[in-house]
Formats: sequence, C-alpha cells, structure tokens
Amino acid sequence: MKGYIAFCPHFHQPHFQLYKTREEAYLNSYQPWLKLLGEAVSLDKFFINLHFSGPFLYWFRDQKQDYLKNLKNLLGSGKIGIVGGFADEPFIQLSSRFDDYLYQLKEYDRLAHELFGVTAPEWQGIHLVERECGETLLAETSRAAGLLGAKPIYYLDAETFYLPHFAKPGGAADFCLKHFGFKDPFSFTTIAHLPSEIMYFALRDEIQGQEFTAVPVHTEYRYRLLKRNAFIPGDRIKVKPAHYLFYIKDALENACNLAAQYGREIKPVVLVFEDAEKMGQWSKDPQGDADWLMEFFRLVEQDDEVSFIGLRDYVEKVGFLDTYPVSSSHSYPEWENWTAKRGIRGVAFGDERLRRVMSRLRLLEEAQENFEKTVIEAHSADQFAGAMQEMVTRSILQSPERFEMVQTLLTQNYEIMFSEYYALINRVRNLLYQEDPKWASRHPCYGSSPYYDMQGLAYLELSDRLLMHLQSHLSGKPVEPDAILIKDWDFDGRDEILILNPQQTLAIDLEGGCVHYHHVLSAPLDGDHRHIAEILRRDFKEIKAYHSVYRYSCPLVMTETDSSMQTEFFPQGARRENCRNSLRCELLHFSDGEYTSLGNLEQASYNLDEVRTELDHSRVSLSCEQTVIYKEIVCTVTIRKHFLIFADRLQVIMKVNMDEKLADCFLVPQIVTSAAPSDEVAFCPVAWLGFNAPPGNSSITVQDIIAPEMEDAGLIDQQIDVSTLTATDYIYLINSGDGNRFAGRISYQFLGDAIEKMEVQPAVKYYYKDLVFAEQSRLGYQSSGIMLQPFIPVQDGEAEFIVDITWQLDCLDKEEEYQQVVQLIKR
Amino acid sequence: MNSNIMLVLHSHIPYVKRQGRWPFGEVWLFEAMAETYVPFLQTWFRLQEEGIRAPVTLSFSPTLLDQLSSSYIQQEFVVYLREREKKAAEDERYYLSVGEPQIAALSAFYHRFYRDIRRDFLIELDGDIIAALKKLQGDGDVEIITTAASHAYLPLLDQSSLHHQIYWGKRAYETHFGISPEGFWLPECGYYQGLEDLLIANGFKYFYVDSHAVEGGQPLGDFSRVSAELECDCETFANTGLSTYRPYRIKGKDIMVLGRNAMVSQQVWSADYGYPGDENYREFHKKSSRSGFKYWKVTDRQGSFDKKLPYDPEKAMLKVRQHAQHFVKGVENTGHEAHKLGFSQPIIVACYDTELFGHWWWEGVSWLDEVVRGINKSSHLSFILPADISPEMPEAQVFESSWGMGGKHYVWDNKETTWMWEIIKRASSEYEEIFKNRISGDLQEKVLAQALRELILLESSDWLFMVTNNLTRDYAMKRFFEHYAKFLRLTNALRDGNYSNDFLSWLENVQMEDDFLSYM
Repeated sequence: MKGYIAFCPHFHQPHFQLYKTREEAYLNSYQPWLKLLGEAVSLDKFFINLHFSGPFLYWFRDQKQDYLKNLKNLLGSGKIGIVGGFADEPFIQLSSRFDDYLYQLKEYDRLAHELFGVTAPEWQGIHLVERECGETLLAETSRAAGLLGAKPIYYLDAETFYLPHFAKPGGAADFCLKHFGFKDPFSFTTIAHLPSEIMYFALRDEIQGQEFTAVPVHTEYRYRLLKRNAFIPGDRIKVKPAHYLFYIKDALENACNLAAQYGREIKPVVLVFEDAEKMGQWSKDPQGDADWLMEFFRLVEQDDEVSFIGLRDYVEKVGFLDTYPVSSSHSYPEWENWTAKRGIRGVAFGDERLRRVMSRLRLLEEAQENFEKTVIEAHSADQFAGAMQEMVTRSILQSPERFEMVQTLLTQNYEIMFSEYYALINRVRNLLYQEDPKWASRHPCYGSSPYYDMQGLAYLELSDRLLMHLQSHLSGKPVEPDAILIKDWDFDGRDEILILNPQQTLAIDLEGGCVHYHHVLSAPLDGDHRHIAEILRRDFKEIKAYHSVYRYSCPLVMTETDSSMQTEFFPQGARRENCRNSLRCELLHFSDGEYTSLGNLEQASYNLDEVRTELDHSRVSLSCEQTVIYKEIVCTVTIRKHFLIFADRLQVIMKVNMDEKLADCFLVPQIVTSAAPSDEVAFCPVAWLGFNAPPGNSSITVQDIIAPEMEDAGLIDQQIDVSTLTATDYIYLINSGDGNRFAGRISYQFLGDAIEKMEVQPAVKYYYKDLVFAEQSRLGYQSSGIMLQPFIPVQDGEAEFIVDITWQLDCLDKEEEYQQVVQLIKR
Repeated sequence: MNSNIMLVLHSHIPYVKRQGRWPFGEVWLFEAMAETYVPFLQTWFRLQEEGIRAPVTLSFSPTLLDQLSSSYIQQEFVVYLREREKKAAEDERYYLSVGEPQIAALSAFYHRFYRDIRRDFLIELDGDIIAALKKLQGDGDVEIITTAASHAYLPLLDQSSLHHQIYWGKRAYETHFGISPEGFWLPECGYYQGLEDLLIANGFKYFYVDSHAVEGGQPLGDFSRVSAELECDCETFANTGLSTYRPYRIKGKDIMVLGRNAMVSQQVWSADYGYPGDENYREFHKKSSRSGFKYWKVTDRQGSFDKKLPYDPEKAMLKVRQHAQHFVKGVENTGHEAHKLGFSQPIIVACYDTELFGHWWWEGVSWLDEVVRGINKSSHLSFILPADISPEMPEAQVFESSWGMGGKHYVWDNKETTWMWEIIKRASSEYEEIFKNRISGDLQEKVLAQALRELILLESSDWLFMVTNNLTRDYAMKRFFEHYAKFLRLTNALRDGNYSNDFLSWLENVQMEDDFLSYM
C-alpha cells in the first residue's frame, strides 16, 4: 500500500449567475456527475469528498429538488463525504466583522443539514474559498468551526506552505547580499526545510491557539485531471487515466520514502482538488469526461497500492505531521497564493469599481453597527454602567457570536419585525462578499462579470432602507429625507459627498466633478418598508436572485474602469484605470475637422463650493478653474456644476465660462448610465434610444451598435437627425430567469443652451485593455451601459447645459410612442 | 500536382549492453531510448489517435533490436530514468538555492520530461519498444527495414563477412518482427557494385544510396565528417542524368534502389544553415558539471561555452513550428521543380539518423511532429512508403559510394584505421577456415557461434568511426580489442580442442556479456 487519494471536486455557481449559463452547466456537468457517482459508489474502494458551494445549494434547493433527493440517496452508500464551507462562497476576510465567519459556517451547516442530513461535526473538511487564506482567516475559521463542532481540516494550495529557498552564499536567500551588497560566507540553511515530498501528508499547525490541519493541494494534479484535449493551440499534451494514476503513485512512492527517512510509518495522501464543472461543462463532452473519470476510478479499484479516502477519515485513520513552528514562521502570508497574483489585492484598494462595492458595504456595516450598539446599550444599561457598559458593548461587537446575540436581544425584546429585518439585512450584506465578482471579473479567462455585484448592490440598497427604518423606529426619529455625508467613503484620501434619500444613493467625487455611484429605487417603494421587506423575504427565502430585482432597485452609475482613462506609473506595468463615472465634461475645440480637448476638465479636481438642503432637494455645487493655452491663446476656463437631488430625480447644471472668446468651442458633458439590458434566458439583450422629434438639423451619431449579423467586430455606426434635441429616453429590457420581462426607462430632458449635435457610445469600450483577453476587455451597450455626449456651442465665452434625469424601473418598451428610435443592439 | 515524400529514419546504437554504463556504454542506448525512441513513439501514437497519417520507413539495426528486447535493458532503462529524475530534482533545489531560478525551472522541465518518458515506457509501451513498432507496422503507419547485423561498413568486408552481416541482419529482423524484411539499409549508405547480389539472395527488394550515387556530381559530405587533420580525397562523380526523384531497378537485377534527396538532407544536416544550429535550440555540447543536464541554448554556434544563455523551451517550440513550416514549403518547392523537370509523381527521399531527432537535436521529434502535420495539411504533398511504389521503373547502375565525407569509404578506411581492417580481414579468414574444419558437437557449436558473434561485433562500423574522428577512441579501441581477444581465445580453443574448466567458465561469462544474436 503506497497511500491514499482524497478526491475533492468543488461544485459552484455564484449567486446571480445567468440562468442560461447555470442550466447549461446543469446539463453538461451536474447531471452527468450524478450518473457517474451512481456508478462509482458500486466500487468497493471508491470514496469522494464533495463540496457544494452555498450559492449552488440555494439554487438547487430552489429549482433542482429531485437532484438533491437523488444525491442524498447516494450519500447513503457511505462512499460520499460532504466538505463544509461558507454559505455565500465569500472572500469573508474582506468583511469588517469577525462574526461573519461563524455566520457563514452556520448558514452552510443549516443548509447542508436540511438538504443532506449532514451536520458540521460530520463534515470531511472545510472548503476555503479559492483556497485563499491568511493567518486571520485560518484562525477565525478554525475558531468558528470549533463552535460548531466541525473539524478544522482544510485543503490549501501547496504554494501556501512551501517556499523552496535554501540559503547559500550568493543565493536568493543570502539576505546579507540583498541588503548590504556582499556575500555572507556563512549564509547556509541551518534549520530543516519542508521538502516537496512532505506536501503529501496532512500537516497540523496552530495560529493564535487555534489548531487546524491542512492537506496541501497540488496544482499539477488539477491540470492533469481530465486533460483530454488541448488547452491552447499547440498544446499536444493529453493525459490518460492510467497516466494520471502513474503520477499519483509516483508522488506517493516518493512521499513514502521520505516518511521512511524520517522514521515515520505514515501513508501519504494525494489531494486532488478540481472544479466539478471541469467535467462536461469545460469540454462540452460530458460522456467523454465521465468515461475518463470512471476508468480512473476503476484503475484505482484494481490497484492494491492506492485507495480513495475521505479527508477527515484520513486524518483520523492515518494521522498527521506537525509542521509548527517551521512552516508558520513564514507561511500563510495573506493574499499570497494564486488569486493574489491575479490582482485579488485590488479587491479592496486597487480596482476602483470593486472598491466601490467595498465602500458601500462599509457604509452599511457602519449603520448596522450603530443599530447594534443602540440595541446592546439599551439592554445592558440596567446591569452595567459607565466603562463596564462600554466594555460589554465592545465585547459583544467583537464576538464571533455578535449576530446571534443581537438577534436574540431583538427576538426577546422587540416586535418580530426587528429580528426579521435584521436577519434579512445581515443575510444580504454577507452575500455581497461572494467571491466571483471579486476575482472572476478580473480573470483573463472569465471576463467581466459586473452583473454579480450590480445585483448584490440592488439588494443591499433595499436592505439599507430597511435598516434606516429600524434605526428610525428605535430612535423614534423619522428617516431623514436627505442624509448628506461628506467623508472619504472610498478610502482614496479625498472626501466625497454622499446623499442618501429613500429613492436614491448618490456619491459625488471631486476628482472629475462627477457622479461615481448612483443607485435608485423605484418610486412605489418610497418609505414602504413592508414592501421592501416583502421583496427581500421573497427573494431570499430561496435566494432566487434573478434579474427581476431591477424592477425595484437599479444601479444607474456603477461603471467599469475605462482603459482610456488610465494612469500608468511604470512602463513595465503598474497602472491604474479610473472608472468612467457620469457627468464628467470636456471643453472641445473644433479645428481642421478635428476636436481638441482644452485643459483636463474630464479628470480635473473640483472644489466643493456648497452643500445645501432646500425645501424639496439637496444641492451640491462644485467648480473648477483652469488656465488653458491653445494655439498661443491663454484662456481661463471656469466650470461650475450644480447637482440638485430631488426625491425622485436628479438635475445637473453645468456652466462654462471662458475669459477669451475662442470660436468653435463646445461644452461636452458625459451623461452615463451603467443600467444595461439583460436577457439571461436567451442571451438576446434589447436596448434602444427613443426621440420624440421629427427629422431636422441636429445630428445624433450612435457608435458601436451591436450587429451580430455583421462580420468582423459586428459593430456599426448609425446617424439620425432630429429637429431639436431636447430629450431622449433610454430603454433597456430585462428578461429574467423567473419569467419576468420588463423594461427600464431613463429619461433625459435637456434644458439650457441649444445642443448642436450628440454622440452616443457604450459607457465603457474597453477595460483593462491588453491585460485581459481581447474579447473580454471589449465592452458594449449590453455590458457597460450608455454614454451620451451632447455638444453645446460656447458663445461669447459662455455655455450652459442642464439635464434632468428621471427613471422608471418597471415599464413597457413601446417603440411606437417615439417618432424616431435607434436600436443599440440589432435584433 | 502532387509530390511524394519518403521519410526514412535509420536507427542504430552499437551493442553496449553490459559494456560499461557511463560515460560510455549503456548510457548511449538509454539516452537514445529516452530522448528519441520513446518520444518518437509517443508522437506517432498521438498522431495516430488524432487520425493523422505519418507513414515513415524505419530502419532498426539488429544490435539495437536485440538490446531493446532485452529485459535487462528494459529494467535498467527504468533505473536510468529514475536516476535522471532524482538528479533533476536535486539540481532544481540547488539552482534555487544559488539564486538561479531560470536554470532551476529547466531542472524541473527535465524532471517532468524523464518522468513522462518513464510513464509512457511503462504504461503505453509496456516496456517493449519493439512491440510498439510492430503495432505501428501492423497499422500501416511505418515500414520497418533491417540493416547489417552489427552495422558493419559493407563495401570493405570480404564475402564471408558480408554474408554473415546480411544474413543475420535478416534473421534478427525475422526474430523480432515475425516476418521477413523487404528493405535493407546499407550502413552509412555504403555501396559497391555487386553488393545487391547478396541482398537479392537474402530476399531483399530495395535499398538506399546517397544522392551522388544516383545523380553523380559533388557528394554532399554533410554526414560523417572527419577531423580536419585527416586528408580526404573528395571525388567528383560523373553526372549521370539520373535523378533521385524516381526509383530505379539495378541494371539486370531484381532490386530497387532509392537515392537520398540532397535538398531535404542539407536543410537538416548542414553545419552552416541546418535547423538544429538555430540559436534558440538547446545546446548539445555544454553540460552542467553537477548533473550532465544541458541547460543552455545554442546562442551562437561559433560562441564559446561561457557565452551560452539559458535555454527557453517555449521559444524553442516557436522556432520548431517556423522551421517545420519552412521545411514543408521547401519540400513543396522541390516537388514543383521536379514537376518542371518532367517527373509527374516525384519521390523526395529524406533520410536521417533517427537519433538526430531528440538526442542530438533536442527539439527534433517535435519538429518531425510539426512536419508530419504540415505535410498532411499540404495539398501538394503525400507521404509514401516503399511498398506503395509502382513496380514499373527504369533500370540504372549506381556508383560505389557512401554518405560519408568524400562520398566513398574514406571515413571508415583511412590511415588511422588501416590496422583495424587488417585485423577484421584476418579474423574473418580465420573464422572461415575454422568453420570449414569444424567438428560437430554441442560445445563446439556453442564456441563457434560465440566466435561468430565476436567477429560480427568486431566488424561494427562504430569503432572505425570513433577512431577516425578521435571521439571516444579509447572506448572504441577497448571494445575492438576485447572482441578480437575473445575471438582469438574462442578460435584457439576450437583449433586446439582444449576446453578447460577455466575456459568453460570464461565462455559462460562471455556468452552473457556478448549475448548478441542469442538465437544464433
């Protein structure tokens, strides 16, 4: 007997996955898996450790109940173990709250128990999202697992443990050479290092007193599993099941030899971790893949030297090696494995769009904490006073069981609405940490997936209104019509202006003088917490999470980063892309058939002149002054912007003033929305612009219309003419997986000076250009939304533009109501 | 317009089994197995799986076949591969420790390479390279031919030795493949007028010669070069008006001769512009003093070793694809030229040593892979095997020749080797004499057979070549003298009838050491 194989496939579809994508994976992968497992459990030596992500299980519980029943029956064979994990497949280490670890594990436990009858103490191990871990995550997850009675057994990438550097004079680990410039003649390794063969054992370690066991995952076994076809052109490597077993046995044999050298009689284990979708969905050949796997299972069955095993079973039966303290002296660096190298660190601070999600979460977490403090203080006041009461409050807020305790206080002392709303808020907030938009949107293979975050934010904004209601109810004060905050909410070192009212959340950035977050709720929800709770209750009972939420809650501005707005720090790399955002503007000069941008108004820093609340709106005024030198003319340009936030609309006034009268100049605002059409059922999105004006002299050029029937890029331009350009409606259709089909309409009414012409293009054409695959870098109306650029002539050194923006989130797409229509995606 | 390309790969390793391991001896065979034969089979089976036809004519020398079929060699080969893997792993660790991650990555590359060779040798080939060849031949994807028993240089042998070399070449083939061979690879393309009579007598239907043997003119001389200090007369052969684009029947005889095409040979072999000299390919000669692994690229063919840069396998693979495309285009153009000359179905015969691919030219097997794919895609080219050739063909006589420098026998017969030929000829005569006067009896037959084995091994062209080129000369002379000494003791015993216990014990040892043609 050489050793064991712990086979650990991971089944995952994120919350908000597109209906069509999910169903395709179901047919290509999940159904074939069930059939395969049905055959495999008849083999004597077969054992498999399955991890189903929480979002996957919620989806299956809602829609594939028969599948789950069949799977549960198979569990009765005793050949299938369940690996536990987090309920929302989150990068939970990004959360500001330690109690989220326990919350996530508990929710998963509840789900797995309901669906499979398996409880946390029976888990074969705990799946850490993307095997991404740091010391905090390992310690906190182990602590939470302990509270549930689950064994903290993880599979972690081998790279997490093993840094193969050996000190030799002049070598990479000669720190004397590195820091002082000369070779250290005594730079030799004197402590034991982990040889690579030791990675085939369970390794016990502890952090902050939390003991855990980790079994390394070996990347090479992932890439060779089901390697039946070429990955890239020119790749001729194919791995047959017998080859695969050969590699495994080879590794086991080497590990056995090492253990013998150490004088330990301990059988090694090769842990095979792989996305379950690799079978069938990646190759689109389920039968071929299933045959491959079954052959592999049979080869193992016939081989006396290897056997499958459960993760926990291995630890309990075979044991572990102690690695403390050698490995922990330099292991588990936070965000140091493969996801880090693909920019995961950008989740919090590097990537502007993703940082916006974190900023919004932090704002909600702050509000939630204020609410919790109020509740805790109200109920500790009679027992504790002064400093002790503060300590008790702090202790509860820092406890892993914080949510449970607050929830208990609410259940015991308040009307039922409090605990129910609080649970919904916490549920939604946790869901926002799901990993997919955090890394998949930056992964070169998977492209942008903004819809995951957009939908999450749609629910978050609803939850925030519930929280406002709870807080107001608790304090006895009515919800403020316009809460205005001036704070550095996105942690970029500069203040932003935030306005929250029942129907809008708006963030105005002084960099570019633009709107960088704008989320709206449908008018009928205004103040109606029961209706909001009903929506969340309905959608979160089973977490259906279809696109129908856009009927109530929609992000109007949450744009991608734009490759045309990048800052490059070093030619070797290190660049930052800025988000396109909305209501930036430019001053263009027309000469010799070309437009030249004067100054740098698009990305200039604006001054905050005034924030004022008036009777029916709030008003934010910004200004920016620049000296522009153009063709030897020195000119001072002043731009003033006024944002008027009403309950259900936004008006923006832009004024330009030039002290030199330069002919042929235009003020060109950028009116952007990231609201985009979606057809998750048939992948045929529909969006169009409607104009109620007869043909005339104002031209509108619409660029990059998606025309699938065209060759090459499939993009065309179209021009229409209208008599006067005073308004346009942007209509986008949502075809949701739950059968709902509706349109959203954003209306733009143009006031102020006459508009000479308008250009229309996708909000963002490229993000991370040349850094991700070209086809994923390219965005269009269906994925990034729309940008309108009206051209307002500057006359006598002045121009004024006013736009009134209103929205209707649930309407009909009646083209016949318009005199002229431009389809943005040809049908 | 279609042209046919006949790819002919000649495989040979002298009999090194139990004749030393390293640096000379069995390691030559193991290197060829690991770097050439197994990768070649991997590639051809993969092409087969993908439905790509790659008909190729393969010649395998009897010394090689006997060694490949030996369970001792099969087991030792696995030991050799494991040693290489271990060395590579140690190297990886070492080069990481001294801050040379690029070299460490190459160590890991070699580690994976040898492990995968072991995987395929054990799993895909079940340790039996010959069985794999048989399968390919059975599937019609290769045509396997034989050569002289110990790869002797035939034009200079006497009739008796010629007979033994050709007869046992045929018998070895029959033993290993269970059928009779139709083609015969003349070692070093060495031919003289009349040699074909012995081939015909043994049932052979075709053989190959170098291009100047057919067309005349200046020999290519790109193979088997000799060191500069040796003077070589380079003869210019008279132009014949014949062409290598078609096969010929030897005048008045029932045997076909095929001439090697100069262009396709030069493109690979040329020291000046052959593909293997490209700067991105792995440098063959510079080795790590720690492990013997070759971590550097050619960089500059004229440059010194200390200027060699680390090898980059990915860049090399890009070059392989470019060179394969270039080669296929070149063959297409050659075909067009042949059509212009009036050959409606020209045959372009491309002959190479198999070990060039993979062993000498590390990327060579990948290049062959790409060439096969390119030819399969080409609408102007098809592969052809000797068996596919129409029996209708003109008659001709070809020149006495070889593919060695000077176009004749110089590489194997020069002032450095004169003494060796004297010994070979003397031994051959002695054997003939003893054979004529042999006394029947089991022991006598056993001794006689061993004497013939030693004679055949003595006649290997390898020892002559090594001495001429001053390459591993000591090993070559040692082997030459050892076989001759064994031959003398055996023939003396036969002559004297003195079979002491000491002799019998020695005989047993020799039979184990030199168990070549054990079925003799």
